[in-house]
Amino acid sequence: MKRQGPVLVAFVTGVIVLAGYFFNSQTVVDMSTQIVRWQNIVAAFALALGGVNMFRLHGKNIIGRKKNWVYSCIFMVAFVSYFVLGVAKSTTSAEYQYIWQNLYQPAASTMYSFTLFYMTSACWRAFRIRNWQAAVLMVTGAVVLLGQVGIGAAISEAIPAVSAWIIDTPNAAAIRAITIGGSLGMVVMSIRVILGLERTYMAGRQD
Amino acid sequence: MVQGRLASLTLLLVLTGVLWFSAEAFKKTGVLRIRRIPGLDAIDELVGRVTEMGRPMAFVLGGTALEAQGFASMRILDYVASQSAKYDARLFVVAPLPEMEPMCQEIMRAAYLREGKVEEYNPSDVLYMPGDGSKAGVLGLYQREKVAGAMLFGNYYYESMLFAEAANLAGASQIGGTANYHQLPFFVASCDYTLISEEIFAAGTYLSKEPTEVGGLTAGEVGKALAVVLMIIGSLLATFGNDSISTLLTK
Amino acid sequence: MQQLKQTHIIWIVLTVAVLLPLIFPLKLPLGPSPEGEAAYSFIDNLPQGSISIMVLETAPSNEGELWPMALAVARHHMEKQHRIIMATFVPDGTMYAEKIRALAESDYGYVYGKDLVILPYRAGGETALASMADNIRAAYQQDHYGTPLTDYPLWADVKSIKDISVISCYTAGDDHLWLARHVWAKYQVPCISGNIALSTPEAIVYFKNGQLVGLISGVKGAAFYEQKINMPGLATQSMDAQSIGHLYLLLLMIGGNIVYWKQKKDGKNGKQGAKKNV
Repeated sequence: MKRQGPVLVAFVTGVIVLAGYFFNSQTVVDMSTQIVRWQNIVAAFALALGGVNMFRLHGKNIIGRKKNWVYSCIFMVAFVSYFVLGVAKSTTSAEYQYIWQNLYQPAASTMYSFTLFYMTSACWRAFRIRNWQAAVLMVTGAVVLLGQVGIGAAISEAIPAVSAWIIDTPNAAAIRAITIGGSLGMVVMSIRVILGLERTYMAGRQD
Repeated sequence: MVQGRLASLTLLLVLTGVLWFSAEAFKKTGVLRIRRIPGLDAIDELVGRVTEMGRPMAFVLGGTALEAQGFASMRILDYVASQSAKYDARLFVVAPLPEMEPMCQEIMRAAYLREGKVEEYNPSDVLYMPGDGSKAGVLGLYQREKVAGAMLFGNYYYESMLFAEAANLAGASQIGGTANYHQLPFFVASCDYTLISEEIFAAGTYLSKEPTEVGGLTAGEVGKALAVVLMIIGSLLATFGNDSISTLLTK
Repeated sequence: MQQLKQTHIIWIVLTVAVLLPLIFPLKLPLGPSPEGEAAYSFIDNLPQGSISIMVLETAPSNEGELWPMALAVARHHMEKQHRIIMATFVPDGTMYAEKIRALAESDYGYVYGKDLVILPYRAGGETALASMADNIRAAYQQDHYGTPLTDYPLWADVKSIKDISVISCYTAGDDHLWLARHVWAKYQVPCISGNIALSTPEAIVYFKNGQLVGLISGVKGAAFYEQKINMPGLATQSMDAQSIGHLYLLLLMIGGNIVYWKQKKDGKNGKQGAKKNV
């Protein structure tokens, strides 16, 4: 029953939502809409579950004085204080927003900016001309890089035009091919989940 | 029937039928022809590498929502967890979504159980790292634990570059895979091996050769063949002013 | 250690290269953006009082690209006196909605509830957006502050998604695809997508097929929009830095090849030599 229950839920909800997509029947559409709304509620509960899991994990680290338990203390202080503030004074309060804007926002933006640094070091290696395909990659990469910013247009009007052609034609063709392949893979995986053939997510192999 | 969805419904039914029949056919014949996927062959190599070096490995799932790529990635995790348990390689799993964390725990526990080493399984090795916190968390994990291998699979966004290049700088070998075309260039630039788009969905078949997996792979291939045929015929007809294929697809 | 030093040098030069144009602007030309022009024209031609939905999928991690464009479009709506509903499917989105509300009230005399409403964050991503499209009044009963939406005059004019003149989203993900699937395909409500530059090659296909009426792509698209509304802002300022950044990447590509060929000539073969991908 531990395995059959989730499989049954996936099958029934999956079939109803699919039917709601394909057929006009108001009853089916209403049921489908209702299930999609339940999914939103379940997603919200899953967030709460994640919070509880983190609380439990870091709590264990502190109690057991495990490696790096000090970081777990920092997590606990941040988690509890921000949570209490959010509940007590609401997430629209000035205090809550002050912390978000002056602590979380700059920290998260910093993480994103790391991408640029890693991109440059990857660029140093990735565009090495080992064969003719790599040479094509480098030349197209260079044209698109220049064409996307003003400096390309300042050098020559042809650069943004060629860059736009590369993005719109060969690049779009490749993307469509990858998208078709990937989408079919997703459709088939979804069929497998709905039919209960895919059970890895509940640690069950297809036996 | 909603206008414009007949073609989608037909395709769905055809793919389901192909999945079923090819699974049954494989059960009888046991014949499977599948091309080599170097990225999947490299999994064993990577597990061997981390075992020899005595350093851990990280399996980082990507995702903003649990969808098909997440399920396919967990299929790969199932295999990696078994191999790690078999060769006593320590495996850290990073789950970016709360609902993924218990699934990963179950997969890991089952893998250790299969290898008869359930007492060696450490639930703390499955880490839930949500949102922006996961970026710092994964980079910290690489540095603190000195990982020798990183596997990055799933629905990745900008963090692909961050995780792959940081692993490279930490001296780890990496295998990446996603169906998000916009992240593929980053994986190709930074990883030793990359699974491109549908290759991550083929991983289950490749690694397990189980009948319904084979059926799924065949259905995907039949769908692709259909798409190619329709594209060629549709383009030719459209060139001569006949739009019957596009009309058919919008019925 | 050798590689680490080399990487650090690359990073330090990058920091200087990007900072300098921010301090000393070069005022390089922008170049055309037909898809941005289409977005601008569509909004510009909407009559006064039209209701638009802005889906703010913005977070601190992507605000460098998305926030300037969201701000520019919001300003454009306010200039044209359109009514604005803001929605989000990421937890941080309401924070940006609050900023737009503050701007609307201070600079344009907007009244909350009459001219502008903030809907609460909804988990679920695509399914949440689909719920909004299918039945917006069932999907939302209260606003971000917990007040019943029926208390607001703006909400009285929103019976279904078809009452919306345009939906725009600002996303680092696949919202353009969700809009095409759940809003355009089902209800033919015009959609505009503001994307990070990385997802433009996919989103542009939807624009060219007519499933999006406009597309704003990355910092360049945002800078273009700022210039169209004659309010140069964050994006315009950072375009020079982006130009120099791109030029620097180009130089790195060339430099990397020189080093590679030199190492090859000397018979050296590092870890990169064994990489299988390229």
